[in-house]
Amino acid sequence: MNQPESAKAVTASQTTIEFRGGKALSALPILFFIAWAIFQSGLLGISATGGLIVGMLVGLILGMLFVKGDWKEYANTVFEGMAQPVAVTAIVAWLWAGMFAGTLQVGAFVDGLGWLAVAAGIGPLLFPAITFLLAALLATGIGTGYGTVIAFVALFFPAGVALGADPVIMFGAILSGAVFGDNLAPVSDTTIVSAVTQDSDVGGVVASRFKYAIIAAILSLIAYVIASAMFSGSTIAPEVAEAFRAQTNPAGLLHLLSMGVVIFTAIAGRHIIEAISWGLIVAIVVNLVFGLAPGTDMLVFNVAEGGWAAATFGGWPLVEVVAAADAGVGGSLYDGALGFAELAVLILLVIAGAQIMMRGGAFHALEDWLLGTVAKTVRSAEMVMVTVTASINAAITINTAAQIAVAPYIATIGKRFNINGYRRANILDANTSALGYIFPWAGGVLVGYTQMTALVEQYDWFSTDMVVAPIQAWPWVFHGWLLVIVFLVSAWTGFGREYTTDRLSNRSTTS
Amino acid sequence: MSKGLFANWRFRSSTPTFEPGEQLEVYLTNFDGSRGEARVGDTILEVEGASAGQVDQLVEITVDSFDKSAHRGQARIRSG
Repeated sequence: MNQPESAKAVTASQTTIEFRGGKALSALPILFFIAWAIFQSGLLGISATGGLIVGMLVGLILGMLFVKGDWKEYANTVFEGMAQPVAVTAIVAWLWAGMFAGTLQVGAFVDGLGWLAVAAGIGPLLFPAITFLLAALLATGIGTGYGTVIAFVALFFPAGVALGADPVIMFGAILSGAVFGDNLAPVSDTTIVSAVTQDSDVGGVVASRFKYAIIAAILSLIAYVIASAMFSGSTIAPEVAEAFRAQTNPAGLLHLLSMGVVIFTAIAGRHIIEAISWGLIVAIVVNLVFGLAPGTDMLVFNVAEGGWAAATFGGWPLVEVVAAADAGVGGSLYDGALGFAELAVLILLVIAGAQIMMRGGAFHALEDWLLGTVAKTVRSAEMVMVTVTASINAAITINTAAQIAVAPYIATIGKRFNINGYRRANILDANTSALGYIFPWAGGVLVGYTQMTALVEQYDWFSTDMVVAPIQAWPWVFHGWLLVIVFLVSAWTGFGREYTTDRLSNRSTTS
Repeated sequence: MSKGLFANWRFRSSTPTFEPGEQLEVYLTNFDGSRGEARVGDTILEVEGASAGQVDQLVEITVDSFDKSAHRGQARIRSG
Protein backbone atom coordinates (compact mmCIF):
# COMPACT_ATOMS: atom_id res chain seq x y z
CA MET A 1 0.00 0.00 0.00
CA ASN A 2 1.01 3.61 -0.28
CA GLN A 3 2.57 3.61 3.15
CA PRO A 4 6.27 4.27 2.96
CA GLU A 5 6.15 5.34 6.60
CA SER A 6 5.83 1.69 7.59
CA ALA A 7 9.47 1.23 6.68
CA LYS A 8 10.36 3.39 9.65
CA ALA A 9 8.66 1.04 12.08
CA VAL A 10 10.59 -0.60 14.86
CA THR A 11 13.15 -2.99 13.43
CA ALA A 12 14.72 -5.99 15.08
CA SER A 13 16.12 -3.87 17.81
CA GLN A 14 18.38 -4.45 20.72
CA THR A 15 17.75 -7.28 23.14
CA THR A 16 15.83 -5.91 26.11
CA ILE A 17 14.03 -8.93 27.56
CA GLU A 18 15.91 -11.83 29.12
CA PHE A 19 14.38 -15.28 29.13
CA ARG A 20 15.03 -18.25 31.38
CA GLY A 21 16.37 -20.93 29.07
CA GLY A 22 18.00 -18.51 26.63
CA LYS A 23 17.12 -16.24 23.73
CA ALA A 24 15.34 -19.00 21.81
CA LEU A 25 12.55 -18.92 24.42
CA SER A 26 11.52 -15.49 23.10
CA ALA A 27 10.12 -17.34 20.08
CA LEU A 28 7.78 -19.33 22.37
CA PRO A 29 4.62 -17.19 21.92
CA ILE A 30 4.82 -17.34 18.10
CA LEU A 31 5.80 -21.03 17.99
CA PHE A 32 3.01 -21.90 20.43
CA PHE A 33 0.56 -20.00 18.22
CA ILE A 34 1.70 -21.88 15.10
CA ALA A 35 1.41 -25.21 16.91
CA TRP A 36 -2.07 -24.21 18.12
CA ALA A 37 -3.08 -23.18 14.58
CA ILE A 38 -1.90 -26.48 13.13
CA PHE A 39 -3.68 -28.45 15.88
CA GLN A 40 -6.93 -26.45 15.69
CA SER A 41 -7.13 -25.89 11.96
CA GLY A 42 -5.22 -28.87 10.59
CA LEU A 43 -5.98 -31.73 12.98
CA LEU A 44 -9.34 -30.75 14.49
CA GLY A 45 -10.61 -29.09 11.32
CA ILE A 46 -11.82 -25.98 13.18
CA SER A 47 -11.07 -22.86 11.17
CA ALA A 48 -12.52 -20.25 13.56
CA THR A 49 -10.39 -17.11 13.84
CA GLY A 50 -11.62 -16.57 17.40
CA GLY A 51 -9.91 -19.79 18.45
CA LEU A 52 -6.62 -18.58 17.02
CA ILE A 53 -6.96 -15.39 19.10
CA VAL A 54 -7.08 -17.52 22.24
CA GLY A 55 -4.07 -19.50 20.99
CA MET A 56 -2.02 -16.34 20.59
CA LEU A 57 -3.18 -14.96 23.96
CA VAL A 58 -2.21 -18.17 25.75
CA GLY A 59 1.13 -18.13 23.89
CA LEU A 60 1.83 -14.59 25.10
CA ILE A 61 1.01 -15.58 28.69
CA LEU A 62 3.21 -18.70 28.52
CA GLY A 63 6.10 -16.64 27.15
CA MET A 64 5.82 -14.23 30.05
CA LEU A 65 6.34 -17.04 32.58
CA PHE A 66 9.89 -17.52 31.25
CA VAL A 67 10.92 -13.87 31.56
CA LYS A 68 13.71 -13.12 34.03
CA GLY A 69 13.07 -10.29 36.47
CA ASP A 70 10.41 -7.62 36.00
CA TRP A 71 7.58 -8.65 33.66
CA LYS A 72 6.72 -5.01 32.95
CA GLU A 73 9.13 -4.82 30.00
CA TYR A 74 7.44 -7.85 28.45
CA ALA A 75 4.01 -6.27 28.86
CA ASN A 76 5.24 -3.02 27.35
CA THR A 77 6.67 -4.90 24.39
CA VAL A 78 3.23 -6.40 23.71
CA PHE A 79 1.88 -2.84 23.43
CA GLU A 80 4.87 -1.73 21.39
CA GLY A 81 4.25 -4.52 18.87
CA MET A 82 0.53 -3.87 18.55
CA ALA A 83 1.15 -0.16 17.95
CA GLN A 84 3.32 -0.75 14.89
CA PRO A 85 2.14 0.75 11.59
CA VAL A 86 2.38 -2.59 9.75
CA ALA A 87 -0.48 -4.16 11.67
CA VAL A 88 -2.70 -1.11 11.47
CA THR A 89 -1.98 -0.77 7.75
CA ALA A 90 -3.22 -4.30 7.11
CA ILE A 91 -6.35 -3.75 9.18
CA VAL A 92 -7.18 -0.53 7.36
CA ALA A 93 -6.85 -2.35 4.03
CA TRP A 94 -9.25 -5.07 5.18
CA LEU A 95 -11.90 -2.62 6.40
CA TRP A 96 -11.88 -0.51 3.24
CA ALA A 97 -11.57 -3.43 0.83
CA GLY A 98 -14.33 -5.24 2.74
CA MET A 99 -16.77 -2.35 2.31
CA PHE A 100 -15.84 -1.94 -1.35
CA ALA A 101 -16.09 -5.63 -2.28
CA GLY A 102 -19.36 -6.01 -0.38
CA THR A 103 -20.88 -3.06 -2.23
CA LEU A 104 -19.86 -4.47 -5.61
CA GLN A 105 -21.30 -7.81 -4.51
CA VAL A 106 -24.78 -6.43 -3.77
CA GLY A 107 -24.48 -4.50 -7.05
CA ALA A 108 -24.52 -7.76 -9.07
CA PHE A 109 -20.87 -7.60 -10.14
CA VAL A 110 -20.66 -11.38 -9.68
CA ASP A 111 -23.61 -11.79 -12.07
CA GLY A 112 -21.80 -9.50 -14.52
CA LEU A 113 -18.64 -11.61 -14.34
CA GLY A 114 -20.75 -14.72 -14.82
CA TRP A 115 -22.36 -13.19 -17.91
CA LEU A 116 -18.95 -12.29 -19.34
CA ALA A 117 -17.56 -15.77 -18.66
CA VAL A 118 -20.55 -17.45 -20.29
CA ALA A 119 -20.51 -15.06 -23.28
CA ALA A 120 -16.77 -15.61 -23.77
CA GLY A 121 -17.17 -19.37 -23.38
CA ILE A 122 -14.90 -19.51 -20.33
CA GLY A 123 -15.66 -22.68 -18.43
CA PRO A 124 -14.21 -24.33 -15.31
CA LEU A 125 -11.05 -25.30 -17.18
CA LEU A 126 -9.88 -21.74 -17.79
CA PHE A 127 -11.68 -19.81 -15.04
CA PRO A 128 -9.01 -20.32 -12.32
CA ALA A 129 -6.16 -19.37 -14.68
CA ILE A 130 -7.98 -16.22 -15.77
CA THR A 131 -8.81 -15.44 -12.14
CA PHE A 132 -5.10 -15.67 -11.31
CA LEU A 133 -4.26 -13.33 -14.17
CA LEU A 134 -6.87 -10.72 -13.25
CA ALA A 135 -6.12 -10.92 -9.51
CA ALA A 136 -2.44 -10.39 -10.35
CA LEU A 137 -3.32 -7.34 -12.45
CA LEU A 138 -5.60 -5.85 -9.78
CA ALA A 139 -3.06 -6.46 -7.01
CA THR A 140 -0.31 -4.91 -9.13
CA GLY A 141 -2.54 -1.91 -9.77
CA ILE A 142 -3.79 -1.23 -6.26
CA GLY A 143 -0.78 -2.58 -4.38
CA THR A 144 -2.63 -4.47 -1.68
CA GLY A 145 -2.69 -8.23 -1.85
CA TYR A 146 -5.08 -8.45 1.12
CA GLY A 147 -7.54 -6.11 -0.59
CA THR A 148 -7.30 -8.18 -3.76
CA VAL A 149 -8.01 -11.41 -1.88
CA ILE A 150 -11.10 -9.83 -0.30
CA ALA A 151 -12.42 -8.47 -3.60
CA PHE A 152 -11.77 -11.65 -5.57
CA VAL A 153 -13.14 -14.04 -2.94
CA ALA A 154 -16.28 -11.89 -2.76
CA LEU A 155 -16.68 -11.53 -6.53
CA PHE A 156 -14.73 -13.98 -8.71
CA PHE A 157 -14.80 -16.95 -6.35
CA PRO A 158 -18.61 -17.43 -6.34
CA ALA A 159 -18.79 -16.86 -10.10
CA GLY A 160 -16.09 -19.46 -10.74
CA VAL A 161 -17.57 -22.01 -8.35
CA ALA A 162 -21.05 -21.52 -9.83
CA LEU A 163 -19.62 -22.19 -13.28
CA GLY A 164 -18.10 -25.46 -12.05
CA ALA A 165 -14.52 -24.51 -11.16
CA ASP A 166 -12.91 -26.34 -8.24
CA PRO A 167 -13.23 -24.12 -5.09
CA VAL A 168 -9.79 -25.06 -3.75
CA ILE A 169 -8.05 -24.30 -7.05
CA MET A 170 -10.01 -21.04 -7.32
CA PHE A 171 -8.85 -19.97 -3.84
CA GLY A 172 -5.26 -20.92 -4.70
CA ALA A 173 -5.46 -18.87 -7.90
CA ILE A 174 -6.71 -15.80 -6.02
CA LEU A 175 -3.98 -16.11 -3.38
CA SER A 176 -1.42 -16.50 -6.17
CA GLY A 177 -2.59 -13.28 -7.80
CA ALA A 178 -2.19 -11.49 -4.47
CA VAL A 179 1.37 -12.82 -4.14
CA PHE A 180 2.20 -11.53 -7.62
CA GLY A 181 0.88 -8.04 -6.86
CA ASP A 182 2.42 -7.77 -3.40
CA ASN A 183 5.73 -8.75 -4.92
CA LEU A 184 5.70 -6.53 -8.01
CA ALA A 185 3.38 -3.55 -7.43
CA PRO A 186 5.28 -0.25 -7.18
CA VAL A 187 2.72 0.97 -4.63
CA SER A 188 2.79 -2.20 -2.50
CA ASP A 189 4.08 -1.61 1.02
CA THR A 190 6.28 -4.70 0.75
CA THR A 191 7.89 -3.32 -2.42
CA ILE A 192 8.58 -0.02 -0.70
CA VAL A 193 9.94 -1.64 2.48
CA SER A 194 12.20 -3.96 0.50
CA ALA A 195 13.61 -1.03 -1.50
CA VAL A 196 14.08 1.33 1.45
CA THR A 197 15.75 -1.24 3.72
CA GLN A 198 18.17 -2.36 1.00
CA ASP A 199 19.31 1.13 -0.10
CA SER A 200 17.44 0.93 -3.41
CA ASP A 201 14.95 2.95 -5.42
CA VAL A 202 11.44 1.57 -5.98
CA GLY A 203 11.63 1.84 -9.80
CA GLY A 204 14.87 -0.10 -9.85
CA VAL A 205 13.65 -2.95 -7.66
CA VAL A 206 10.41 -3.33 -9.66
CA ALA A 207 12.26 -3.46 -12.98
CA SER A 208 14.85 -5.91 -11.68
CA ARG A 209 12.34 -8.27 -10.05
CA PHE A 210 10.14 -8.51 -13.14
CA LYS A 211 12.15 -11.43 -14.52
CA TYR A 212 11.63 -13.63 -11.48
CA ALA A 213 7.94 -12.72 -11.16
CA ILE A 214 7.10 -13.31 -14.81
CA ILE A 215 8.84 -16.71 -14.98
CA ALA A 216 6.90 -17.90 -11.91
CA ALA A 217 3.65 -16.37 -13.22
CA ILE A 218 3.82 -18.03 -16.64
CA LEU A 219 4.48 -21.41 -15.02
CA SER A 220 1.61 -20.78 -12.56
CA LEU A 221 -0.80 -19.90 -15.34
CA ILE A 222 -0.03 -23.17 -17.12
CA ALA A 223 -0.24 -25.06 -13.82
CA TYR A 224 -3.75 -23.71 -13.10
CA VAL A 225 -5.01 -24.94 -16.48
CA ILE A 226 -3.45 -28.37 -15.93
CA ALA A 227 -4.73 -28.58 -12.34
CA SER A 228 -8.25 -27.61 -13.45
CA ALA A 229 -8.16 -30.34 -16.08
CA MET A 230 -6.93 -32.95 -13.62
CA PHE A 231 -8.91 -32.12 -10.50
CA SER A 232 -12.51 -31.26 -11.01
CA GLY A 233 -13.67 -31.30 -7.41
CA SER A 234 -16.59 -28.93 -7.80
CA THR A 235 -19.61 -29.88 -5.77
CA ILE A 236 -21.94 -27.59 -7.65
CA ALA A 237 -25.23 -29.24 -8.60
CA PRO A 238 -26.25 -28.94 -12.29
CA GLU A 239 -29.46 -27.13 -11.38
CA VAL A 240 -27.53 -24.59 -9.28
CA ALA A 241 -25.12 -23.93 -12.13
CA GLU A 242 -28.09 -23.51 -14.47
CA ALA A 243 -29.80 -21.12 -12.05
CA PHE A 244 -26.59 -19.02 -11.85
CA ARG A 245 -26.35 -18.90 -15.65
CA ALA A 246 -29.97 -17.77 -15.79
CA GLN A 247 -29.38 -14.85 -13.42
CA THR A 248 -26.19 -13.59 -15.07
CA ASN A 249 -26.56 -9.93 -15.90
CA PRO A 250 -24.31 -7.77 -18.08
CA ALA A 251 -25.39 -4.66 -16.12
CA GLY A 252 -23.22 -5.86 -13.21
CA LEU A 253 -20.20 -5.14 -15.37
CA LEU A 254 -20.88 -1.43 -14.82
CA HIS A 255 -18.81 -1.98 -11.69
CA LEU A 256 -15.74 -2.37 -13.86
CA LEU A 257 -15.93 1.41 -13.63
CA SER A 258 -15.79 1.24 -9.82
CA MET A 259 -12.75 -1.06 -9.95
CA GLY A 260 -11.15 1.09 -12.64
CA VAL A 261 -11.44 4.14 -10.40
CA VAL A 262 -9.59 2.34 -7.60
CA ILE A 263 -6.82 1.10 -9.90
CA PHE A 264 -6.44 4.47 -11.65
CA THR A 265 -6.25 6.53 -8.47
CA ALA A 266 -3.85 4.03 -6.84
CA ILE A 267 -1.54 4.07 -9.87
CA ALA A 268 -1.77 7.88 -9.85
CA GLY A 269 -0.06 7.69 -6.48
CA ARG A 270 -2.99 8.35 -4.17
CA HIS A 271 -3.13 6.66 -0.78
CA ILE A 272 -4.96 3.32 -0.83
CA ILE A 273 -7.61 4.65 1.60
CA GLU A 274 -8.33 7.48 -0.82
CA ALA A 275 -8.29 5.19 -3.86
CA ILE A 276 -10.74 2.67 -2.40
CA SER A 277 -12.94 5.43 -0.97
CA TRP A 278 -13.36 6.89 -4.46
CA GLY A 279 -14.15 3.44 -5.84
CA LEU A 280 -16.69 2.92 -3.07
CA ILE A 281 -18.41 6.22 -3.79
CA VAL A 282 -18.62 5.37 -7.51
CA ALA A 283 -19.95 1.89 -6.68
CA ILE A 284 -22.72 3.32 -4.47
CA VAL A 285 -23.72 5.83 -7.17
CA VAL A 286 -23.70 3.11 -9.87
CA ASN A 287 -25.85 0.84 -7.69
CA LEU A 288 -28.43 3.58 -7.06
CA VAL A 289 -28.50 5.24 -10.50
CA PHE A 290 -28.73 1.99 -12.48
CA GLY A 291 -30.98 0.26 -9.98
CA LEU A 292 -28.50 -2.53 -9.29
CA ALA A 293 -29.11 -2.37 -5.53
CA PRO A 294 -31.34 -0.30 -3.26
CA GLY A 295 -29.76 1.87 -0.59
CA THR A 296 -30.81 -0.57 2.12
CA ASP A 297 -28.60 -3.27 0.56
CA MET A 298 -25.63 -1.06 1.37
CA LEU A 299 -26.66 0.43 4.70
CA VAL A 300 -29.77 -0.32 6.72
CA PHE A 301 -30.93 0.45 10.26
CA ASN A 302 -33.19 -2.41 11.30
CA VAL A 303 -35.46 -1.00 14.00
CA ALA A 304 -37.42 -3.26 16.34
CA GLU A 305 -41.16 -3.22 15.62
CA GLY A 306 -43.62 -1.99 18.19
CA GLY A 307 -41.37 0.64 19.74
CA TRP A 308 -41.20 4.41 19.65
CA ALA A 309 -38.34 4.36 17.12
CA ALA A 310 -40.30 2.18 14.70
CA ALA A 311 -43.33 4.46 14.90
CA THR A 312 -41.25 7.60 14.42
CA PHE A 313 -38.64 6.56 11.83
CA GLY A 314 -40.42 3.72 10.01
CA GLY A 315 -40.58 4.62 6.33
CA TRP A 316 -37.51 6.83 6.41
CA PRO A 317 -34.77 6.03 3.87
CA LEU A 318 -32.36 3.33 5.07
CA VAL A 319 -34.66 2.42 7.96
CA GLU A 320 -36.56 -0.87 8.05
CA VAL A 321 -38.89 -2.12 10.76
CA VAL A 322 -38.14 -5.71 11.71
CA ALA A 323 -38.92 -8.24 14.43
CA ALA A 324 -37.20 -7.34 17.71
CA ALA A 325 -34.79 -10.27 17.41
CA ASP A 326 -33.50 -8.97 14.04
CA ALA A 327 -32.82 -5.37 15.14
CA GLY A 328 -29.39 -4.01 14.27
CA VAL A 329 -27.33 -2.34 11.57
CA GLY A 330 -26.77 -4.10 8.24
CA GLY A 331 -25.87 -3.71 4.59
CA SER A 332 -22.68 -4.15 2.61
CA LEU A 333 -20.81 -1.33 4.37
CA TYR A 334 -21.51 -2.94 7.74
CA ASP A 335 -20.99 -6.58 6.76
CA GLY A 336 -17.98 -5.79 4.59
CA ALA A 337 -16.07 -3.99 7.33
CA LEU A 338 -17.22 -5.91 10.41
CA GLY A 339 -16.38 -9.28 8.90
CA PHE A 340 -12.72 -8.60 9.66
CA ALA A 341 -13.04 -7.50 13.28
CA GLU A 342 -11.81 -10.81 14.76
CA LEU A 343 -8.97 -11.08 12.29
CA ALA A 344 -7.89 -7.53 13.16
CA VAL A 345 -7.56 -8.51 16.81
CA LEU A 346 -5.63 -11.66 15.90
CA ILE A 347 -3.14 -9.80 13.71
CA LEU A 348 -2.46 -7.24 16.44
CA LEU A 349 -1.65 -10.08 18.84
CA VAL A 350 0.56 -11.90 16.32
CA ILE A 351 2.58 -8.74 15.74
CA ALA A 352 2.93 -8.42 19.52
CA GLY A 353 4.32 -11.98 19.62
CA ALA A 354 6.76 -11.17 16.81
CA GLN A 355 7.96 -8.11 18.73
CA ILE A 356 8.63 -10.30 21.78
CA MET A 357 10.76 -12.57 19.58
CA MET A 358 12.78 -9.57 18.38
CA ARG A 359 13.24 -7.97 21.79
CA GLY A 360 14.15 -11.35 23.29
CA GLY A 361 17.02 -11.85 20.87
CA ALA A 362 15.92 -14.98 18.99
CA PHE A 363 16.51 -13.15 15.70
CA HIS A 364 20.01 -12.06 16.70
CA ALA A 365 20.92 -15.61 17.69
CA LEU A 366 19.69 -16.88 14.33
CA GLU A 367 21.68 -14.25 12.43
CA ASP A 368 24.92 -14.98 14.30
CA TRP A 369 24.56 -18.69 13.61
CA LEU A 370 23.80 -18.18 9.94
CA LEU A 371 26.62 -15.72 9.34
CA GLY A 372 29.12 -17.77 11.27
CA THR A 373 28.41 -21.28 10.09
CA VAL A 374 26.22 -21.50 7.00
CA ALA A 375 26.83 -18.55 4.67
CA LYS A 376 30.37 -19.45 3.58
CA THR A 377 30.08 -18.79 -0.16
CA VAL A 378 27.96 -16.40 -2.18
CA ARG A 379 25.80 -19.32 -3.29
CA SER A 380 25.17 -20.57 0.24
CA ALA A 381 24.69 -16.97 1.42
CA GLU A 382 21.92 -16.41 -1.12
CA MET A 383 20.35 -19.77 -0.32
CA VAL A 384 20.34 -18.74 3.35
CA MET A 385 18.80 -15.36 2.48
CA VAL A 386 15.97 -17.08 0.59
CA THR A 387 15.22 -19.79 3.13
CA VAL A 388 15.50 -17.56 6.21
CA THR A 389 13.28 -14.87 4.70
CA ALA A 390 10.71 -17.48 3.75
CA SER A 391 10.74 -19.21 7.13
CA ILE A 392 10.62 -15.98 9.16
CA ASN A 393 7.59 -14.98 7.16
CA ALA A 394 5.98 -18.37 7.67
CA ALA A 395 6.21 -17.64 11.40
CA ILE A 396 5.18 -13.99 11.48
CA THR A 397 2.39 -14.39 8.87
CA ILE A 398 2.08 -10.73 7.86
CA ASN A 399 4.55 -10.17 5.07
CA THR A 400 5.38 -6.51 5.72
CA ALA A 401 6.09 -7.21 9.38
CA ALA A 402 8.30 -10.17 8.47
CA GLN A 403 10.18 -8.02 5.99
CA ILE A 404 10.91 -5.31 8.50
CA ALA A 405 12.14 -7.92 10.97
CA VAL A 406 14.47 -9.72 8.59
CA ALA A 407 15.61 -6.77 6.44
CA PRO A 408 18.69 -5.79 8.53
CA TYR A 409 20.02 -9.35 8.31
CA ILE A 410 19.51 -9.56 4.57
CA ALA A 411 21.42 -6.30 4.25
CA THR A 412 24.25 -7.58 6.46
CA ILE A 413 24.65 -10.99 4.80
CA GLY A 414 24.27 -9.52 1.29
CA LYS A 415 26.81 -6.74 1.81
CA ARG A 416 29.39 -9.27 3.07
CA PHE A 417 29.39 -10.67 -0.49
CA ASN A 418 28.82 -7.32 -2.23
CA ILE A 419 25.42 -8.41 -3.53
CA ASN A 420 23.81 -5.20 -4.71
CA GLY A 421 20.68 -3.58 -3.27
CA TYR A 422 18.33 -4.64 -6.05
CA ARG A 423 19.16 -8.32 -5.73
CA ARG A 424 18.87 -8.15 -1.92
CA ALA A 425 15.52 -6.33 -2.12
CA ASN A 426 14.22 -8.90 -4.59
CA ILE A 427 15.17 -11.89 -2.44
CA LEU A 428 13.61 -10.16 0.58
CA ASP A 429 10.34 -9.19 -1.05
CA ALA A 430 9.61 -12.25 -3.19
CA ASN A 431 9.92 -14.72 -0.36
CA THR A 432 7.99 -12.71 2.20
CA SER A 433 5.23 -12.00 -0.33
CA ALA A 434 4.98 -15.68 -1.24
CA LEU A 435 4.80 -17.16 2.25
CA GLY A 436 2.24 -14.63 3.43
CA TYR A 437 -0.41 -16.38 1.35
CA ILE A 438 0.32 -20.08 1.76
CA PHE A 439 0.15 -21.43 5.30
CA PRO A 440 -3.20 -21.75 7.11
CA TRP A 441 -2.25 -19.20 9.78
CA ALA A 442 -1.05 -16.63 7.21
CA GLY A 443 -2.87 -13.29 7.15
CA GLY A 444 -3.66 -13.55 3.44
CA VAL A 445 -5.21 -17.01 3.75
CA LEU A 446 -7.25 -16.11 6.84
CA VAL A 447 -8.59 -12.92 5.28
CA GLY A 448 -9.78 -14.91 2.25
CA TYR A 449 -11.35 -17.56 4.43
CA THR A 450 -13.14 -14.92 6.50
CA GLN A 451 -14.60 -13.37 3.35
CA MET A 452 -15.56 -16.80 2.03
CA THR A 453 -17.60 -17.76 5.07
CA ALA A 454 -19.74 -14.66 4.46
CA LEU A 455 -20.71 -16.04 1.03
CA VAL A 456 -22.85 -18.71 2.68
CA GLU A 457 -25.24 -16.02 3.88
CA GLN A 458 -24.92 -13.98 0.70
CA TYR A 459 -26.02 -16.65 -1.78
CA ASP A 460 -28.75 -19.27 -1.37
CA TRP A 461 -26.88 -21.75 -3.52
CA PHE A 462 -23.50 -21.31 -1.79
CA SER A 463 -23.26 -24.12 0.74
CA THR A 464 -20.74 -24.62 3.55
CA ASP A 465 -19.06 -27.49 1.71
CA MET A 466 -17.92 -24.96 -0.91
CA VAL A 467 -15.97 -23.01 1.73
CA VAL A 468 -12.26 -23.79 1.47
CA ALA A 469 -10.70 -24.31 4.92
CA PRO A 470 -7.37 -22.48 5.42
CA ILE A 471 -5.55 -25.81 5.77
CA GLN A 472 -6.66 -26.87 2.26
CA ALA A 473 -5.17 -23.97 0.35
CA TRP A 474 -1.40 -24.42 0.69
CA PRO A 475 -0.67 -26.88 -2.13
CA TRP A 476 -2.56 -24.75 -4.66
CA VAL A 477 -0.87 -21.37 -4.23
CA PHE A 478 1.28 -22.11 -7.29
CA HIS A 479 2.71 -18.64 -7.80
CA GLY A 480 3.82 -18.47 -4.16
CA TRP A 481 5.65 -21.80 -4.29
CA LEU A 482 7.08 -21.17 -7.76
CA LEU A 483 8.41 -17.76 -6.73
CA VAL A 484 10.33 -19.38 -3.86
CA ILE A 485 11.59 -22.11 -6.20
CA VAL A 486 12.65 -19.53 -8.82
CA PHE A 487 14.70 -17.76 -6.15
CA LEU A 488 16.26 -20.96 -4.84
CA VAL A 489 17.29 -21.85 -8.40
CA SER A 490 18.53 -18.28 -8.96
CA ALA A 491 20.61 -18.40 -5.79
CA TRP A 492 22.10 -21.75 -6.84
CA THR A 493 22.80 -20.86 -10.48
CA GLY A 494 23.48 -17.12 -10.20
CA PHE A 495 20.53 -16.23 -12.45
CA GLY A 496 19.89 -12.49 -12.18
CA ARG A 497 22.59 -12.02 -9.54
CA GLU A 498 24.11 -8.54 -9.44
CA TYR A 499 27.12 -7.33 -7.49
CA THR A 500 27.77 -3.79 -6.36
CA THR A 501 30.56 -3.79 -8.94
CA ASP A 502 28.00 -4.47 -11.70
CA ARG A 503 25.63 -1.73 -10.68
CA LEU A 504 25.01 0.25 -7.54
CA SER A 505 21.41 0.63 -6.47
CA ASN A 506 20.39 4.26 -6.65
CA ARG A 507 20.26 5.07 -2.96
CA SER A 508 23.66 3.59 -2.09
CA THR A 509 26.25 6.23 -1.26
CA THR A 510 29.98 6.04 -0.85
CA SER A 511 31.18 6.90 2.63
CA MET B 1 11.53 0.81 -18.38
CA SER B 2 11.13 -1.96 -20.98
CA LYS B 3 14.91 -2.22 -21.22
CA GLY B 4 14.98 -2.40 -17.44
CA LEU B 5 12.43 -5.21 -17.36
CA PHE B 6 14.48 -7.35 -19.72
CA ALA B 7 17.90 -6.39 -18.41
CA ASN B 8 20.14 -8.84 -16.59
CA TRP B 9 18.45 -12.07 -17.73
CA ARG B 10 21.74 -13.89 -17.29
CA PHE B 11 23.65 -16.23 -15.03
CA ARG B 12 26.31 -14.34 -13.06
CA SER B 13 29.46 -16.09 -11.96
CA SER B 14 30.06 -16.56 -8.25
CA THR B 15 33.67 -15.51 -8.91
CA PRO B 16 33.57 -12.24 -10.90
CA THR B 17 36.82 -11.13 -12.53
CA PHE B 18 38.34 -7.66 -12.69
CA GLU B 19 41.00 -5.95 -14.77
CA PRO B 20 44.01 -3.98 -13.47
CA GLY B 21 43.20 -0.28 -13.51
CA GLU B 22 39.46 -0.91 -13.08
CA GLN B 23 37.79 1.50 -10.67
CA LEU B 24 35.09 0.05 -8.44
CA GLU B 25 32.74 0.93 -5.61
CA VAL B 26 32.47 -1.95 -3.15
CA TYR B 27 31.54 -2.66 0.43
CA LEU B 28 34.69 -3.27 2.48
CA THR B 29 33.91 -6.65 4.05
CA ASN B 30 36.86 -7.21 6.40
CA PHE B 31 39.85 -5.47 8.03
CA ASP B 32 42.59 -7.48 9.74
CA GLY B 33 44.43 -4.61 11.42
CA SER B 34 46.66 -3.67 8.50
CA ARG B 35 44.85 -4.48 5.29
CA GLY B 36 41.27 -4.41 4.16
CA GLU B 37 39.37 -6.98 2.15
CA ALA B 38 36.47 -6.61 -0.25
CA ARG B 39 34.70 -9.86 -1.01
CA VAL B 40 32.70 -9.73 -4.25
CA GLY B 41 30.84 -13.01 -4.48
CA ASP B 42 33.59 -15.55 -3.84
CA THR B 43 36.29 -13.31 -5.31
CA ILE B 44 38.61 -11.58 -2.83
CA LEU B 45 40.17 -8.17 -3.41
CA GLU B 46 42.85 -7.20 -0.89
CA VAL B 47 42.55 -3.47 -0.30
CA GLU B 48 45.52 -1.29 0.72
CA GLY B 49 44.90 1.97 2.51
CA ALA B 50 41.63 0.97 4.18
CA SER B 51 40.74 1.59 7.82
CA ALA B 52 38.73 -0.38 10.37
CA GLY B 53 35.94 2.19 10.30
CA GLN B 54 35.27 1.48 6.63
CA VAL B 55 34.10 -2.11 7.17
CA ASP B 56 30.53 -2.54 5.86
CA GLN B 57 30.84 0.86 4.14
CA LEU B 58 31.03 1.57 0.42
CA VAL B 59 34.54 2.53 -0.63
CA GLU B 60 36.05 3.55 -3.97
CA ILE B 61 38.97 1.36 -5.02
CA THR B 62 41.30 0.89 -7.98
CA VAL B 63 42.31 -2.66 -8.97
CA ASP B 64 46.10 -3.03 -9.22
CA SER B 65 46.37 -6.68 -10.21
CA PHE B 66 44.10 -9.69 -10.57
CA ASP B 67 44.73 -13.44 -10.71
CA LYS B 68 41.84 -14.99 -12.60
CA SER B 69 42.70 -18.57 -11.68
CA ALA B 70 42.87 -17.84 -7.94
CA HIS B 71 39.95 -15.37 -7.99
CA ARG B 72 42.06 -12.93 -5.97
CA GLY B 73 43.34 -9.46 -6.63
CA GLN B 74 45.06 -6.45 -5.12
CA ALA B 75 43.46 -3.06 -4.96
CA ARG B 76 43.86 0.24 -3.13
CA ILE B 77 41.57 2.89 -1.78
CA ARG B 78 41.17 5.65 -4.33
CA SER B 79 42.02 9.06 -2.96
CA GLY B 80 40.47 12.33 -3.99
